[in-house]
Amino acid sequence: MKLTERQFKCLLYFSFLGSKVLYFPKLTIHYLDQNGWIGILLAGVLASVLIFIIPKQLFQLSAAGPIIRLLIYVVVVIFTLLLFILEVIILSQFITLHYLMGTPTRVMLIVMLVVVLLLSRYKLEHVGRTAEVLQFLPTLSVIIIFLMAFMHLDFQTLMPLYLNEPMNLIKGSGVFFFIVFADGFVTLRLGEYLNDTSRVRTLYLQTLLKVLLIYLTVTVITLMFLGAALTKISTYPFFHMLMNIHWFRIIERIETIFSLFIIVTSVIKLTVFLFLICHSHGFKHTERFQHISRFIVLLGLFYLSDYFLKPPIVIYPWLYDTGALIFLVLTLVLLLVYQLARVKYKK
Amino acid sequence: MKKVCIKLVLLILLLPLLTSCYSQTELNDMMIATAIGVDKSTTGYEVTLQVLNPSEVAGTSGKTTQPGISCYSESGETFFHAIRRLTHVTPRKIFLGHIRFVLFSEGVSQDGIIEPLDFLMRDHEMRSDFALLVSKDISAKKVLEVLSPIEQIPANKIINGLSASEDFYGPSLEVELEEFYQHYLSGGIEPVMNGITVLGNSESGKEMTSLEQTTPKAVLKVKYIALFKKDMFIGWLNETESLGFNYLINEIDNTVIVVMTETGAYTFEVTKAETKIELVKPPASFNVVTTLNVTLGEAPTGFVKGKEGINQLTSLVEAKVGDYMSSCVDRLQEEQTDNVGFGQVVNRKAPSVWKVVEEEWETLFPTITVDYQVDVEMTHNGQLSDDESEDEG
Repeated sequence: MKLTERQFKCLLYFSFLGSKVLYFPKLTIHYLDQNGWIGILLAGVLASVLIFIIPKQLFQLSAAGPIIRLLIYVVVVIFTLLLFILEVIILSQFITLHYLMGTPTRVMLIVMLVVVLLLSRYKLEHVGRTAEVLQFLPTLSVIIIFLMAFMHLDFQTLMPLYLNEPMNLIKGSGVFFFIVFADGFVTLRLGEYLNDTSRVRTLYLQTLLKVLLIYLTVTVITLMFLGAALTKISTYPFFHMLMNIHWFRIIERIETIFSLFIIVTSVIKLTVFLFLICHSHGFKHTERFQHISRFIVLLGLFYLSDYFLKPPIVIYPWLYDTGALIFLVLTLVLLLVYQLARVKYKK
Repeated sequence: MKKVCIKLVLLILLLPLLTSCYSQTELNDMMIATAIGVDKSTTGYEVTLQVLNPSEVAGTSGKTTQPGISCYSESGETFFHAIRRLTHVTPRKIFLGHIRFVLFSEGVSQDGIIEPLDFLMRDHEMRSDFALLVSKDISAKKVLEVLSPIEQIPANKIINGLSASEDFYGPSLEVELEEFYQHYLSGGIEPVMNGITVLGNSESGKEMTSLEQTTPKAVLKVKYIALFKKDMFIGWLNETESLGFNYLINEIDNTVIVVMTETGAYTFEVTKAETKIELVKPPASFNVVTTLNVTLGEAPTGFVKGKEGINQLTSLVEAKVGDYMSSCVDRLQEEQTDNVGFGQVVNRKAPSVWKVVEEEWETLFPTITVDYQVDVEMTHNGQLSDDESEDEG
């Protein structure tokens, strides 16, 4: 199984995005008020620097010993499970609220998991090829939205406000890093399937720049359009903002394009995560065994997601406090465990 | 070949699933609301819905002499409760996704409108791109019941009239739910809404016979700006103050200004207006800089006295616009409510000062000093360019 550089970049790109775009502006406001956009820049810089501490050997793990491979696999799986559950819960809630009101969120969870199960029957390069075809969707959506929103924007709201607690900037940037860019650190494991693994860092940085621009644009537009206070209390601030853009009486329902972007990126992201959970251990199995393992994992994920299914009003405060802390610990553990690959190589 | 056939059959079997979701409501089973009116009732709120009569407003065949809209009212303990109780009286399921505006009566607005606004913001079916209005000297229900000539849907008449008044004259302002809510939540600025009233006999205005005359018995009239403190209505601006308000918040696109001279009244069309509020000395000294491009629209004598005459006229325009703005600010200071957003200017330009004065801004606002600097440039004089000075020269 091999991925082209382009496919790898697309899968990485989609893993960075997903349903986080829905609530990310809210998160930035929570920590940094109107200075949130500065925090995103700092988080991006941090993510760019940290890629250089990830050893190149991580992308040739087959040379490492089974214990190190297993350890890295276990940490990646735990991290990915958490990200998967959060992603599928938020996406299901979003779809039921705005498009299928009356449908129980549990039913939506099942639908999402079945879609992911069907997609995961294909090989990773097929998923990569799909991502390659659809990669224009997030970029184009954000460009269209930016153009449409431009005339309504109030640039004054972007002025950095007085920071009475400068520590908030550091804390906020840290949280944004753990929540946004940590997904990329997990997906980096796919670098193993590239022909030239030495290119992983460069490809990561190129993708990161693009992602940084997307998150920055989404946050800045929302902030300028809704203002800090309204962004903070909206469940899906960016979507909320889109419902209010008028553009010469055309494309009145721009939010539907955005919803498509969210659903497509999320589903591909979940498929990649399922692949990481089921197949990134590197051990060979029959195809039948793989199908069964994916089915069992998804069944388990359904029960876990269903168990953690709470309304957004409960999820967000959890994410601000406990969730951010869990992401912090997991990211640190992940970065530490990745270092084991370096030790092994030196020996 | 067998596999292809199986896939084809499966695809065909999937087609029925593409028709729609299972919880769909057919168009024939729903009633499209165009406006909501909110009045006080003994139990809480009385909600009136203006709904479309599709057979009268769509297509060309099947039209009768019925009005294009119908109104239904019901009361409830809360706004949402009243909306749901409307199902007692409406023939179909109500669809609120195409609302053009929500109209609050003065009584409801005085008590605070955050409860209905919360529902409107929270409900998944509603987009928040509709206007909010206050009915002046009349209940919201009576305003919604009035029929309008030419435009079959009165809600559209009101919104189109409001836009026209805002775009071509200036004392009106279309405030959408989103904007109102933003100002309600933000510090340093208070929200506003536009008013609406009925001229004539509102009872006769709901009958079709009213439309069969050249002058309808009741006419919907867009009024001026209503001031709010948080979510509570506190008073009305008059025409001059409303114009000044829109100059201050940079919402004047096009308007006219009449200035009086010894020779008579000159009318100028403002084609461009830009206002900046500068913080001179935090937190209580401001400078309002307004630049206007005007064209001469009407002159009493048919002539303008050369460059000197133009200068004299533009300085009169400058003084008049300054008066508009100062009358508005004086009124706001009198009401102790900062609807223009001077507080926000302090917040942006001197955030550290704002942190100190934020809590006491309401008491500090009446003491702020504002200077007005208006620069007018006459960019055109229309199709007549006779200059009296040329004759003299």
